[in-house]
Amino acid sequence: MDLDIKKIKEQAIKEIEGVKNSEEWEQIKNKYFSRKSGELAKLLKDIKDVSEDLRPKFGAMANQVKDELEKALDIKMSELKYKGNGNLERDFIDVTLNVEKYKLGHLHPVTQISMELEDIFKSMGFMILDGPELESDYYNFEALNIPSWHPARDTQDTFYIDPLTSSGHDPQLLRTHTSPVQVRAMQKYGAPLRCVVPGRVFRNEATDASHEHTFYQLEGLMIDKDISISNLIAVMKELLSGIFKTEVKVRLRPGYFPFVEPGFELDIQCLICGGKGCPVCKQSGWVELLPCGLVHPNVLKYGGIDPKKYSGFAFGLGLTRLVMMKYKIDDIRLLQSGDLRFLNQF
Amino acid sequence: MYISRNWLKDFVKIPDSLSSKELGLKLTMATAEVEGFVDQTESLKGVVVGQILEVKKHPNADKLKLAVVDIGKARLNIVCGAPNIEVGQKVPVATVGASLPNGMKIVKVKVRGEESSGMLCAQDELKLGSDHSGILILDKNLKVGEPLAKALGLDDVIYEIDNKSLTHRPDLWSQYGFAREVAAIFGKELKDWKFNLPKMPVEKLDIKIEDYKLCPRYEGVVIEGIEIAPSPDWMQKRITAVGMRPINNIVDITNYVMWELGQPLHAFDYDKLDGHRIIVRTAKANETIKTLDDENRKLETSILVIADAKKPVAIAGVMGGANTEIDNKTKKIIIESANFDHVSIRRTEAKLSLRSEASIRFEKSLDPNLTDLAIRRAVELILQICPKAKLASRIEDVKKFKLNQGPIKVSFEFLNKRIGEVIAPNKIIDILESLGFEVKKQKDGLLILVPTWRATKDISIPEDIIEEVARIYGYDNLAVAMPLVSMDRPELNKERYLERKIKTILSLGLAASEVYNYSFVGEDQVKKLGLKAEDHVKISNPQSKEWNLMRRSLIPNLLDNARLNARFFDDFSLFEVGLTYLPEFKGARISNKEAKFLPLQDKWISGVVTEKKNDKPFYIAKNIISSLLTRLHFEYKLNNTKNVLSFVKKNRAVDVIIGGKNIGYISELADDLYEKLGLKVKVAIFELNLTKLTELYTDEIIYKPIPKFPGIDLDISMIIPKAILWEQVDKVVREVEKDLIREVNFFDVYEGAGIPEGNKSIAFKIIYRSDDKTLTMEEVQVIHQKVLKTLEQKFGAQIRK
Repeated sequence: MDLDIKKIKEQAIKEIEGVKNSEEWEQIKNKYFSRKSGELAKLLKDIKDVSEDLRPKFGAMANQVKDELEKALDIKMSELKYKGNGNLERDFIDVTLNVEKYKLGHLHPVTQISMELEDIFKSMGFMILDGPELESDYYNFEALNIPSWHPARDTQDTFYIDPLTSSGHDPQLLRTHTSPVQVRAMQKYGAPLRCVVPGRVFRNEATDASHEHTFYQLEGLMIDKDISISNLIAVMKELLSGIFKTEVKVRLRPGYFPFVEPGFELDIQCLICGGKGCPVCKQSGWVELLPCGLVHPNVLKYGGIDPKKYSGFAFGLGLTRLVMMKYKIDDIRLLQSGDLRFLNQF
Repeated sequence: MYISRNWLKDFVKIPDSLSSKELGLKLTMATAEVEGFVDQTESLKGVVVGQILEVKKHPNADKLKLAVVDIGKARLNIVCGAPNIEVGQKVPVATVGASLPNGMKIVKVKVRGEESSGMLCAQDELKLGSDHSGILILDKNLKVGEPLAKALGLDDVIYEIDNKSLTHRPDLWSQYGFAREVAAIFGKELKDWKFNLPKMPVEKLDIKIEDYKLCPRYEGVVIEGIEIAPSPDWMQKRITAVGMRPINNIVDITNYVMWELGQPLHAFDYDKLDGHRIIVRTAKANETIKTLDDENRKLETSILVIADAKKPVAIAGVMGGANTEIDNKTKKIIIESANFDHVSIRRTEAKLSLRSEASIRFEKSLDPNLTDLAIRRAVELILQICPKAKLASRIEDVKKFKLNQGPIKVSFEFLNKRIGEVIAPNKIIDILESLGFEVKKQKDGLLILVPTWRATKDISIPEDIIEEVARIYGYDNLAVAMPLVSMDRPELNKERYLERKIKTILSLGLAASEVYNYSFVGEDQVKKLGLKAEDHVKISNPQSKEWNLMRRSLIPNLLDNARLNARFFDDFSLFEVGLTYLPEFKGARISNKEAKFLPLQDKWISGVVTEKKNDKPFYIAKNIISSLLTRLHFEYKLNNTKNVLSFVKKNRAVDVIIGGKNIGYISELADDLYEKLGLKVKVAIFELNLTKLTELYTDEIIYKPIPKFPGIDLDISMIIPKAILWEQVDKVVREVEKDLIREVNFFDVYEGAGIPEGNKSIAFKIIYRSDDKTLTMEEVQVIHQKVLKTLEQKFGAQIRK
């Protein structure tokens, strides 16, 4: 009896698997499930003849087989239903259509690059700081070792604030660089200090495709014990390799900025030609990238840091320029045009 | 600034094997940025001496001529437009294949049907001067066919130095200054100065300085027997090479010395000076002077002038006066070699908007010792070039100045630590001495006396010495080493952290696009919006009236963005994150010394939202802000408000309240502004104060257990008076059974056909749920009936079945 049930099941499963169309399916279904002549009906009849103590066991087995065969028939039925081409035709859609579009928003390209740089700097232990854009003469110039008579003031065309319309104190201006935050940071955090300041700066110069009165810089500052020129080169090389996502070669040459001593222009080996010379680097193999230097002891003093105990370096990265380089933007004014035809590209 | 390689060679040996490029590179790396150089031999390649054999009229053009030119190995037909060519002249001929210094490439062309195999050149085309009035006519004795550079003895290399990289180096505005750098870089000797001047006469020159602070030194000498003539070729060549125009022997000599030594000189016509005396004083009220550029200039009393007994004759250090100018009849001159205060010079330049080759040198703070060297050099040259010239006075020297030459004490340890490399003491001493420093070796370091030409303000502290040593040693030669510092974690900038989250959610989550606008607004712009121009911080020197105020809100410029973009897009949301400037509130300190403050500069997130087919964009803006605040887990309330800004629509405004504080609002633009602003679509606006939001922000989220028992939701649709707010409905419903009514979610509102006037149909879903058991429908129905009854009683609601 035990064997019979198993045999019937195996036979049935095999036959169901072999079914090729709905007629065959009907036949098989009848063969096993017909109330009068079906194999399962026969089986149940036979069970009645079994001794009473074994009857529940076989009954349960027969019921289980019944369930399994019904399921196998259902699966077969659905297989038969979705085979064949009639359904494909009915369910055809044009997959090349864009029916419902998700609306996409966009981050400003300067934001995107700034975020990328901030992450690199954060990973190397730099704080990200902000400062006022409407600044005092004191932080923008004086505390950066640029007294009122200094020629460096001439080169930074400054927007000045009408004191009567502002808070009234001292000369106020729109910061010409992010450097004022150097001294603010020193006064707030003391030494050692590692920070960068991305932000908006202003120069009162005529606007054209390559000049803007409003643009973006990223200031960097590191102060610790015995920071040297060698350290500056090493850190900048590492940071810039992070920014350009490739190992860059850097070189320093003299440059003059009143708030550093010595001051440098840092060049990177041209990433386009690898230093061989091309139109981008004007055949020199090098591209001028950023001004930097060891923090001038007067600036440290303004920041309340003892230049005998600490030294440091500072650098200024042109965020706007980096964005323009990266996306090959040929008109700086687009960045502040608010034009979605431009912004939607990022 | 231009530097001539040949001129440098007067003072320092430069090996011929050193390429022009290499010398430029070395200067860039150690001294100042070389922007480029012109090798005359190279740049004039293909330009030869030619002789004009024939000049005919061009058959098809009135202004053109056809010239036949002999260049030795060939005769060329050349079309030429210059008015000054004649048969027999020797002229520069650029042959086919040549590239001129101005970038022009010479090819064989047809000009109006006539073939032209080359070009006759003007002075400026060859960068031999600025003249473009005609073809450069050459000396008759030059050999036909010879390369022009060779024929003219043009074998120089001219370097252009970036002036910006010289702002701190008064000593580098001369050939001699650069020669000193070259000597230091290559370890060569720098030639010293020796003059063989005749015995000085006893005659004095009357010089009076009224203020030694403004003029620390004035030297003058009278020379007679002058015959004005062109200066010699060698001098003209050099003057031209550095970009000046030769004028006459005396003026050229003063310019020559300035370019050679960096000390500006001036020559007065002695006979034109009233009283034959020199007074250095500030201008008197209402004095005027006509300067050498033919401009009449009104002088202010702060401007330093050189005067004779009666009148100003020069603006000190900036420009001479026409009234005492050297002319062709000049016989007797005074040479001035003086030193002026750099601050005073800069102020004068600014006041008169006038800069000259002299003033750009004085403004760098020149060494007062230089005047003596320069005047002796000038006298030597005058006596050499003008054979009849004779000293008519001694070199008069009036001075009072003091320089801080140190000495600066620098330890080897300090130098090595700051440079990051141990440089041998002897190497350090060599470098410093080659630059003119006097160095005394001590036990642990050096005592360094600064040379006078670096002592005016350039070098005064030990850090300055680091630069001198390191740059000549070579930054490229330094070992690269990471700093050894402790791995402190950077403190979090909470505002930036939140700003980034918000920008990301708005743009990448809620489909808004970020714009950057100027911080400026204009008077007309804010007045249109009903704001007062006088409430804004004003810029003293704005670029235009449209941008002369500092924004108090980001909305005005965003509205302009909306107007622009509505031309191209139907639906969009824009936002900006930026500072506003409020003068009536205290911001950051203006310095750490006093309790004075800048205007408050809070950071705001503001936006504009528009959908072409939607006349209630308010709801989209509200959705954006609600989603944003929910995403950031703020507990917020949006309170209906009538207290709104001038440009806001009064009956469509809510304040955003978090922690009891008002941190912004959501609204639409006031109806009367659309026409004024040229906006054709309805615009919603929102503003949130990010600075305040940051103070309230916490990223703490406490998990709530997932409900254990299922809830039952039932929908209600009802007609109520239009004026009843959803907020009221929501509140009344919840109060019926606070514990079991878990959510009341609005899903539809309708007004119009089928609904009585003044009413609206509103539909919502209530979710009933218990924390203790599975509610039965019977239990829920009891409460639900209570809800319906309450709605009928409170609002006269007509429940739709």
